[in-house]
Amino acid sequence: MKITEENFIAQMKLGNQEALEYVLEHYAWILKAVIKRHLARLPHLQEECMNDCLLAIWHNIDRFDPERNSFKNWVGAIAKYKAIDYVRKYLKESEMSNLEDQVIPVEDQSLQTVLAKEFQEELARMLKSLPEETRAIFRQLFWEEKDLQEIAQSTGLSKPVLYNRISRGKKKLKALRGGY
Amino acid sequence: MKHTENIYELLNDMSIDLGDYPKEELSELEKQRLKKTFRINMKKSLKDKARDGLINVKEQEKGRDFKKIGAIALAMFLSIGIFAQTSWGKAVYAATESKLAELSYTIGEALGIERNIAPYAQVVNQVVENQGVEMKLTDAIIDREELILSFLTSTTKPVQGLHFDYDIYLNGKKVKNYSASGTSGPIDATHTNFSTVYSIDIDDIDTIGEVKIKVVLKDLAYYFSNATKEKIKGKWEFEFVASGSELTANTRSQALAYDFYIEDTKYSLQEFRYNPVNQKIYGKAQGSVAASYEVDLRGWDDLGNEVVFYLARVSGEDLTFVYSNIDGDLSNEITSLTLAPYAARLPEHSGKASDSWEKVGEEFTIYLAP
Repeated sequence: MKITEENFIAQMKLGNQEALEYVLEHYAWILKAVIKRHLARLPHLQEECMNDCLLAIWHNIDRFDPERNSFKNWVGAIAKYKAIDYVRKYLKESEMSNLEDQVIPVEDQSLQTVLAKEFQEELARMLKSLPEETRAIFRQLFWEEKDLQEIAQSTGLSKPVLYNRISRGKKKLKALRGGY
Repeated sequence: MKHTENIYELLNDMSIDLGDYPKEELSELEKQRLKKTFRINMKKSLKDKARDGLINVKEQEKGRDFKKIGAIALAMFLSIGIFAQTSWGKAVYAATESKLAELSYTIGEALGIERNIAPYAQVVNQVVENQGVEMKLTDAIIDREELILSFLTSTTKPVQGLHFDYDIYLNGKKVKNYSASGTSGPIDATHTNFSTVYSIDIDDIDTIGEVKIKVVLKDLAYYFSNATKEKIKGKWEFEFVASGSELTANTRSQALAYDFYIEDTKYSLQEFRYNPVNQKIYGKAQGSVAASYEVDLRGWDDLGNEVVFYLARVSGEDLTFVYSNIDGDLSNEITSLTLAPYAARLPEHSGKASDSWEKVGEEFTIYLAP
């Protein structure tokens, strides 16, 4: 069957890889634009990040909710989240590598400093309007790779309370333009 | 990353101003690279799941040997009978429970067609479980006088082969007295996962509009290497909507006027009809139909490739020769086909194919319109 703007999401949910090719044709520019911006200083990771995003879209299409966001914004949000996460992982690996090597080339130092600064700015932009408790939950959920069970244990909050905090946080985030 | 499902759910509520980002079109090369990597990642993902026991089939083991099986079409006529009502398959089977949910085996793979025919197939991917047996209707194609259905079956134990019959309902009306050809074979070494494709001849199927299709699978039987058989009671029911309009729009036809005789029967070839899925030559047989003959149209295309059309269907006076893709697809690049009719008399007391083929007519050439 012909894949169209009207049926590509339903077809992806059915596992039709033709639908992903449609996404590639019509929406991959979003991935490229967002990833190129946020991984501008790490160009060698851009293609891997795009591949990662495509796979994420494919595996999580059931989680896309057209009543809450447009598909292109959801794709853009995935790209931005992934790109920033790639920076975080790069910084973490660089830190470990530097600890082992004990020798840090000057150019790497400067790149890491700039990246760390940008990463913090992006993170701060996303989190700045959130109350402290919700900010901590988001920080742990997004950047420290913890799941809700772990966060519940570390904060002493129950899962329903966490969900409620996340829900309230999301509403605030939604009000932000140009950031999370 | 752990529990990323939370994140993709949350990303529905994230706002991002795409106007802030300059549009970055992808080059064809970039698209090709992304497609290729995606396919590799998908296979790796399935392999990881297989290793972790989440599914029991390795994707990369599929698709290599099946073409040999797929090309051997077994013609059979269905008997429509009365059957005992047994418990119906669960209409919706939770994907998390399903062994087949993660598996894909497209109709093109099952038919051994190398070109991409996905744009003409209706992806269904419904899984129904009954008696521990999972059936997945993967996709369907509507062509002129034909409905092609592709299934995956996950058996309850290793088997040598399997077979099932089915009832078809089009727009709520049961189709009666149809014929079909089918192919079936295992898709991995476990012999618990099988692909089956049925090509069902339905004279008046609508190839333009949407057709509501219901398929009820029944009379499943396992076959074992020691020639024993085990029947599995139950039905597996699927419902979906499909359209043949896309394939119809990509179908071309060339009128033919060529006759040949086998004994007293006159065979008149009238039309070569071709599209990405099927390539068929239609004709008529007048006189007493020589049903005890196998008939082929054999020859070459203008690129030098050997080409065979076999007589797949005789219905009254109507004949249908179908291109045999055992050596590959009919090339998109060809401009002509040069064929000659060959016939072999079938033994009267045995169904074994004859090897005494004889040329029964002169060569003729079909020139394809550019």
